[in-house]
Amino acid sequence: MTAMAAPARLRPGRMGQASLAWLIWNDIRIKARGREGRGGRIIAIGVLALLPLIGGALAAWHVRAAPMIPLAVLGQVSAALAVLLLVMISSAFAHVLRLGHDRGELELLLTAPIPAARVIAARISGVQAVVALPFLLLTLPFFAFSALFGHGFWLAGPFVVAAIAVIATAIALVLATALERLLGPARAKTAAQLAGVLLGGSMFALGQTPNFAPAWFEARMRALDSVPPAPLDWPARALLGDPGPLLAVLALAAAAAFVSARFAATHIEAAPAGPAAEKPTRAAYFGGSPFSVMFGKEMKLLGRDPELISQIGQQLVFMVPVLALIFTDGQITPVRMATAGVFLGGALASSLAWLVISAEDAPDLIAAAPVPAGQVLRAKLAAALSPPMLLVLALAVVVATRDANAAWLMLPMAALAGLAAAMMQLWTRAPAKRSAFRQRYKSSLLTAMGEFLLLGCFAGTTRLLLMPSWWAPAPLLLAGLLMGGIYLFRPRPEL
Amino acid sequence: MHAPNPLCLPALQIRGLTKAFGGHPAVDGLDLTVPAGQIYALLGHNGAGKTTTLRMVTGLARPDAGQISLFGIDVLAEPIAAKQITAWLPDEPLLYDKLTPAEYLAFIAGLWRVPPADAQPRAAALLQQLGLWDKRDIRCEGFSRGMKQKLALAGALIHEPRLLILDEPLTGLDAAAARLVKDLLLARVAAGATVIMTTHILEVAERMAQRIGIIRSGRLVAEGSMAELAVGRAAGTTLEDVFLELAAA
Repeated sequence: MTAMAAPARLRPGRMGQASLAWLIWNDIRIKARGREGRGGRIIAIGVLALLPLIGGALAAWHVRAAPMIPLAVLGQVSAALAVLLLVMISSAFAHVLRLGHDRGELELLLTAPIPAARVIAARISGVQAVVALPFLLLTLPFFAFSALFGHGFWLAGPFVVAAIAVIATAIALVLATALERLLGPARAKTAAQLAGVLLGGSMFALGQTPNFAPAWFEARMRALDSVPPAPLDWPARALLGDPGPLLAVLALAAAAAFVSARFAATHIEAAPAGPAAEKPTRAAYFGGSPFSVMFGKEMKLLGRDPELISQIGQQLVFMVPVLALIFTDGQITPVRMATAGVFLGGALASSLAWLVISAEDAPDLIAAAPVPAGQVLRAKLAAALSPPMLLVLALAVVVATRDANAAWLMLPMAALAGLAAAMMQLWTRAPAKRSAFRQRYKSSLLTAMGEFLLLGCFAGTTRLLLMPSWWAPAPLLLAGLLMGGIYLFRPRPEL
Repeated sequence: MHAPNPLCLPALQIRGLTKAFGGHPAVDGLDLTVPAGQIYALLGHNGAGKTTTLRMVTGLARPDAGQISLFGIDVLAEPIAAKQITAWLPDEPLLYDKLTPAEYLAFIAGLWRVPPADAQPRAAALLQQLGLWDKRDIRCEGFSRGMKQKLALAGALIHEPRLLILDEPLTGLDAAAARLVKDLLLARVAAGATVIMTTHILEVAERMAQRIGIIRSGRLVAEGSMAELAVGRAAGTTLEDVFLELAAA
């Protein structure tokens, strides 16, 4: 009898089956798989990696003459690492809360003859990797080029970034467990979303302080000129390869990893396996023409989507500091506001279009209904465009008080940008669950980059028209070419 | 020459229906006629072409060749008119988790243009019949599989279709709910509707269906009442015996 060869993809390779490494690899492989093939993914990652690569090389060259431990910037590096920790906690918090609730796949693993602690450790390692990866991708080129230019010890940097991710995950787990015990799972999730919105908005506002509060910003920067007292300077020293603090940070990360494994088991066991408690809902009425029935349904579903509300909240919070600037002498002008409004309106329309088109819960029900497909599409587009256009309209009112032309131009340009982004979502749609809203860009990096470029083109045309410049049609032409390309190469589902 | 009497038209008539996926035929020149006012069970192994056939009948998939008519309406030429008299209930319930049962039924009624004055009492009656009345204002996201299946059935019935097409309608239902659904379907047929259903539960087909079709590799290999299918076979032959002999041959 001849043994049947295992398919190449399923061979465990050097990793023992069901080992911790094997489980982590399985988790990462599932998370990394998107809609595009391996080639598309490599192109997308390559393009995304290009900026940090160039930026990292330039920055490393710029500081090539700095001492191994540059005391003058130790305060600033410490502040940056504190911000990094906060951002990572926010990111880990969202993943940790999902950990207990997305149980289907986890329960399959927990029913396998593998120690539960190993399964949970693998899952936590997955969260730590997801939290660390974007920051590692951003910073790795800088540390690598710095080593090439003579700062060999700075190669400790990526290890410290990874260690901070491990510590952030542990803090998030402790917080999530405490919050779930205090507030219950549903409220804890809402609290996490709210915290994410506030943290994101605060970071954005902080990034804008050099523009609208330069004096305050300068004062804070001067305060950071002095070296922080030990052990507050240890993370920064560890990042720069100082052996003692580096060992301390790594030891702390190891302890955090241990705590994570212990808390994760409790957290996952405590998460409810069944649905949330039932609450009566005020009934909505769907009536009138099929268009208004469809439109009403989409608006109702959008309004009842907490993920979406969180996303909209985040975008609104991002706009608050910008709005505050319009009446100041800062550098954000009505023209820039109009440009930003076009981009944000288009981005919001794209998010909503993804929800109403790709994340339609019952596509076969709609297809089987006696309503022409065009009418369904028009209702869905109207639902995707209405909320962002209301938002842009409110923004236009504010802009109009300073520059009426900018306000008048912003409205049609935002509508065009939103429509183009929605059409792009339509042409590249792939069925998905509404719960995958946060992961929609992960499934196709090429689509995400295309959308970014498309919205950039519309925003660019707005800016150039308001300058004014004869080059204004150029970005619009580029957007047209991009749309044409996407239409031509769109996936055609077999009916 | 007289126009055909719509009351005498078959509920479903399929001629030479063909559909292939990636070069592999899923439905291969299928001919099928389902008389009106009956329950018709379409049986076959997994991958035999049952669901693909029903998806083409409901306009969800486009045939490569062939003709489909529902009560004389050409499905390919007049899809909206055909959909107006049809309901499709797949094995996975088509629901919106964020809507309540009352809202869901109002939405379906709106799509099929049922006047609210008719839709509201119908929705109330269906929710009561299916034991969902107490849950009418609760969002569906917490519902069990059986409750979702019952609500989807209510959605299929709210516009009183002449033809109900059901793919595995009893999946996920407990014994009491399955009985409820079967009684509801029989009542609809008694009121003049036609039901076409697929099922892997052969006892259900044997007890409920007036006619049974067995499909294999996209072709109809046998059709008739249970008595007709048993002709030429040993006494006491069950549908399971016939099915295993024909579907796997």
